[in-house]
Amino acid sequence: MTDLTCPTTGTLRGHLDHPVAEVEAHLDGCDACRDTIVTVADNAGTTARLIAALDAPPVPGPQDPRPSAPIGAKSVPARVRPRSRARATAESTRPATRPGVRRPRGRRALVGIGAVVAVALAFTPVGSTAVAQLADAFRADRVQPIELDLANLAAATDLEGLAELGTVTWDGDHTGPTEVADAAAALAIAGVEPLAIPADGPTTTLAVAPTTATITLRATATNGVPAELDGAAMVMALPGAAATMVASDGGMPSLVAGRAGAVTVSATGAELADIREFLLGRDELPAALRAQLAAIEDWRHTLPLPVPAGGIGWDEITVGGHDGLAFGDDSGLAGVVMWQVDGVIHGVAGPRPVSELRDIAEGL
Amino acid sequence: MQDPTDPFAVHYGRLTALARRVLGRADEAEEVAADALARLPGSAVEGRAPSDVTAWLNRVTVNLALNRLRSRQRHDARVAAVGPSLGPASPETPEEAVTRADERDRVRLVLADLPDRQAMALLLRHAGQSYAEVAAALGVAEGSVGVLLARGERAFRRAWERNDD
Repeated sequence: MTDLTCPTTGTLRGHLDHPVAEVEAHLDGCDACRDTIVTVADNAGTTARLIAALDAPPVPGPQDPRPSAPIGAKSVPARVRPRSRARATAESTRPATRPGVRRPRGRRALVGIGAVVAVALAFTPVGSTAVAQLADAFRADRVQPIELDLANLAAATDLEGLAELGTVTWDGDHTGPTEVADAAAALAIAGVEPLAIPADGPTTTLAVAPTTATITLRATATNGVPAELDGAAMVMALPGAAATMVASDGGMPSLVAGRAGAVTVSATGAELADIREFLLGRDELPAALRAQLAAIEDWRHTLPLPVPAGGIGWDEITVGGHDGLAFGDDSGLAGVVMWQVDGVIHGVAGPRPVSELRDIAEGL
Repeated sequence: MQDPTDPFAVHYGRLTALARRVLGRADEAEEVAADALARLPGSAVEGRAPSDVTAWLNRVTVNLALNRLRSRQRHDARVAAVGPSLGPASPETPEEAVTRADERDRVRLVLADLPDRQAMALLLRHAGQSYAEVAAALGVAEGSVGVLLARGERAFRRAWERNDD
């Protein structure tokens, strides 16, 4: 029952974005406020999703930049308890593939990597300044590579079994990067600007719009999803990203530098930890992947970064005083340097020695 | 390189994106953003702190966009009353695109019917503005943003579900 000490609805709404310890403590002992915040969160989530739909998907061009990424799309409330299940709104607003949009070379590979990242993120939510607004549990402090046997990933993954567990819906365009006119257009689409890099050849600007993937669990007589998780949903807001690509004489990229915004993961209908625990106990995903994810003790603060098993080497580094990772070696075949600043991932990659890429990164 | 002293360079992209969300049309959004920027010289915030200028421009842009949206909807209602033959022909598009476009139109309809302050709070917050920025744009205390959002989102949800019936 609501009493005089209960926070107002406005306070509860603010708590969804800026958690307050006193409010959290109150929620632990007040059924009425827990029910209220479920409703508040549900309204906020529905509004965020629908307003995010205003980010029109027409073909972007020099005269037609798309609006910036809606933070609302990432702000799906996390504070929802199992006893007070929110009404899941899983309508998809996935846009159709945009006609006439030029897709850069290598898009398929990027999308593939994105899918792997999405799977990994499903188990290990990361934080950022934006995530910190949702709950104090979500703050990225570091990244950690997890090795995947990419060649056998598909074979080792029981896709049909995963499909049995529930449904996946997407908000926004998740078809990969789009070539845009300039950094301003990239900012409008992705919500972040590409890194400006020294160019010794023609440059191309790429942008990826933010998307949201919602995985909703459904309990059936045979799929093993427990009744208390029926309807529970995990919402992964995958960030926008923007990159500048420098082409070499042969037309292939000689250097790519970009930024990606904050990733957020939240849950409705159940605690995120409960969903994670359930999924890590399933055998639809490769055991090696689950074992590595399960071994990340500080999983609420760690971004898992899939890397090919047994292939590319990596080192923990710092760039400008920020923690990062360097992949590859000094053979000049391929290398990646990435680092994180306030939850925003920065990266430089190309067919160059890692030491050169590190120098470029330090100079940005 | 962006000139940090040029209001157009600093604000135009963000304001266009804000207006585009409300209006859905790039050309109109650009006009609204340019209109808002044109009102800056001689305004009460000219020469003040960048955060004040940003808040003022955000508010003016969303206001102008909402006004234009409402004006358009009144016009569309009149056209519809006369007869569909006066309206633009509907292009043939895939079913999904039609559904999506319809959803966006309905979202704009619902937003246009909300009280100004609630609509602005929702549009600014869900465009990524912080509570402090929303508060500054609306001229309210930061502590009031939560209740504005809660009321706005409840009203939005109810109007959306009524509209859905």
